[in-house]
Amino acid sequence: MGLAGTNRRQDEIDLEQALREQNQRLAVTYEHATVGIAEIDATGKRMRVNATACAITGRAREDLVGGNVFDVMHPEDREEDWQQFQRLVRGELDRYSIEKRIVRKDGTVIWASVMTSAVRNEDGTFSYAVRIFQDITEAKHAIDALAESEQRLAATYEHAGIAISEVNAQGHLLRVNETTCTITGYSREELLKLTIFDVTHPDDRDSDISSFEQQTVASANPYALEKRLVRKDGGIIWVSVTSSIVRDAAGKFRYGIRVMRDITMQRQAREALRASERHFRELLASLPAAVYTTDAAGRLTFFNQAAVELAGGTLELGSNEWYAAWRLLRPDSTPLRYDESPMAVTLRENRAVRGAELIGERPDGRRIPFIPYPTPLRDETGKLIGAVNMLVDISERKQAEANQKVLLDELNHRVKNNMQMLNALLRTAQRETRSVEARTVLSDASNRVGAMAAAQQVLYEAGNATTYSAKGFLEGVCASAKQAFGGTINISIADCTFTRLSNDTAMPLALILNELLTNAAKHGRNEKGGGSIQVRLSKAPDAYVLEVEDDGPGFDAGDANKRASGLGLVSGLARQLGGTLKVERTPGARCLVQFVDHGPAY
Amino acid sequence: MGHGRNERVSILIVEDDFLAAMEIESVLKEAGYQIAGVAVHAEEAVGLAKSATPTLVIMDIRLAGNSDGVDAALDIFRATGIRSIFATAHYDADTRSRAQAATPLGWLPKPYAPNALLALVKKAVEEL
Repeated sequence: MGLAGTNRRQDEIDLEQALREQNQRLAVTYEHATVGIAEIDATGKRMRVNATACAITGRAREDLVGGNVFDVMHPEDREEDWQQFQRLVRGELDRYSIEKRIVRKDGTVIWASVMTSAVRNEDGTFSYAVRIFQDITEAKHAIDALAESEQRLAATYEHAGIAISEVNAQGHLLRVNETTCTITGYSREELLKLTIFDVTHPDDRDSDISSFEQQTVASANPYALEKRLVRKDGGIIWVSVTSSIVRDAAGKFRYGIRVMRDITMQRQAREALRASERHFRELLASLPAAVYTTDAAGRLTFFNQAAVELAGGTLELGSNEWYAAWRLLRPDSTPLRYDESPMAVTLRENRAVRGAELIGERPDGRRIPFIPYPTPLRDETGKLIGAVNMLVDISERKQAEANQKVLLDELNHRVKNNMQMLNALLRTAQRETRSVEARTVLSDASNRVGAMAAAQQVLYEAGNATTYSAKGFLEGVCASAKQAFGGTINISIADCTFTRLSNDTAMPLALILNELLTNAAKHGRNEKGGGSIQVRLSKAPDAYVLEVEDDGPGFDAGDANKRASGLGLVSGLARQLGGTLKVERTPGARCLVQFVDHGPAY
Repeated sequence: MGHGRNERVSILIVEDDFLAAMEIESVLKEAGYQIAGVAVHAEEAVGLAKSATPTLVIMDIRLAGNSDGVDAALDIFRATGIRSIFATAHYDADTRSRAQAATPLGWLPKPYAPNALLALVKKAVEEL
């Protein structure tokens, strides 16, 4: 016996103790590792599981131990796991990893990443397998979501309706989408060998290069430009390009993004519009009438050559002062303020103005009569955006009207004079003849001419009108007839201020009235030898009626023949006027001549 | 004077101016012609021509109403074959070409002298 025996025992005790402690630590480590650990045999039966395995699967140790991992596996996962496991058991692999579903006790399904490794005997045969697994549900969902998101992004990029490409700092194409290939006509492989400048039209290349270089060097903002693209088949199309840079955290160039859109049709439409506008302007410029347009505030936006000539000076676009150079006048020469002018009304009230006649007084003093035709210009909503005005110079027309008036006045004057001459000749003959009969006849003739002369005077005073005033006419003819009467004859004329008759009726009516008055003065006197004659002109439906009534003894129609051939003249002239002569007894004589006024002949 | 011959000739006067009509009437009467009547508008003229069947018509072109003397002359000629002498101030090519269809007997421009009227009528009568 001795000390050596005791120490050995102590060593053994210490060793046992150390081993126990180590085992304990191992057990704890095993038990509470952050992964689930299960030991399974070659059939997959669980021999031992750790606490974490229970926690992950939600099952109690008693449930797990003795059970087979392949029994509770999802059918889709089982096949692969089983295959791999067999190979592991056979020694073809040492370990394998799979991701599989685990159904927890409460029914929820989780994804787990499982690593299975083999523990072999000394002779290499399979002893048992260790399965280490962890819950990767959240991570898997995140990865899946990311994958889906990436897929969608890629699809969007690829099938966007615009060409998107990525380029390096030299402009080489790094990546292009489907639409880039379609627009350029090159395949993806071909494009990845080219730079963006290779497909640019030679004339547009320089500006494209310089813009791009600036952008890569400085921290420039995205820029957009329009350029021509030369397709693989040589065709040229216009594109709109937006170029931007992706930089890293330090601000250094990573890659450039080019977004490109085919704008050929847009450009064609723009050109067509410009051509149409040009055509329109040329048309306006060639019009002989002055045309100008303004914006809604009245500032000049366009004017043609005729407008410049009419204004008698220079016109400036953008100015609204051009009217200030002119004095605007109404036809009666009273001044018109610009804001009262038709164009100002159009701009203010958003409506066309027609029918106005104005006079413009130029800076050099010349007056030009004109007719303006201001019309509003509106946008699609009907809002006023400006106005167009055309000024038609009517100087020539006015001159022609003035000439015509002068000629007509001259004509009237001459006729009046001729009649007076005729009258004078008759009166001379009347004075010179010794025959009483001749004197009577000449007197009658001269009175008739006098009545016509009185009528002519009324026509002369009416000027260019096609009608004359009945009132002035009756007064004139009565005054002329009265000159031949002796004694006291009173002629009263009933009011007919508003009646106007056509010029055609003047001469026949003058002769008719003269005849009736002369008869009344001859045969219609009262006992005292004086006479009162009433003259009336009234309007009946479709006709007029001229009445001459005296207060004499009156007469019947049968006596008409005795009452001088004058009444025959009256009948005939009444017929000429589409009317009739009627004689009534009131008890004086009332002669009524109904006649029609057909209106102006021309 | 040849009044006897003239008495067999009857003339229709179409004239809406009363005084002018009176004038023509008296000139013709004095020369011995018969007056078939005086009409002041186209309808009246056609009616009178049909009823009175004059030898010829003195037709004023400008008449009151819608139809003018040329229309009346055409109607009369188509209906009765009676021809007209046109008395008018409207002596323009347009009017003359319209009137041709009625084969006028002559043209008397207004204002006219009585001698001119009588000469035209005489020539017309000889032609007919």
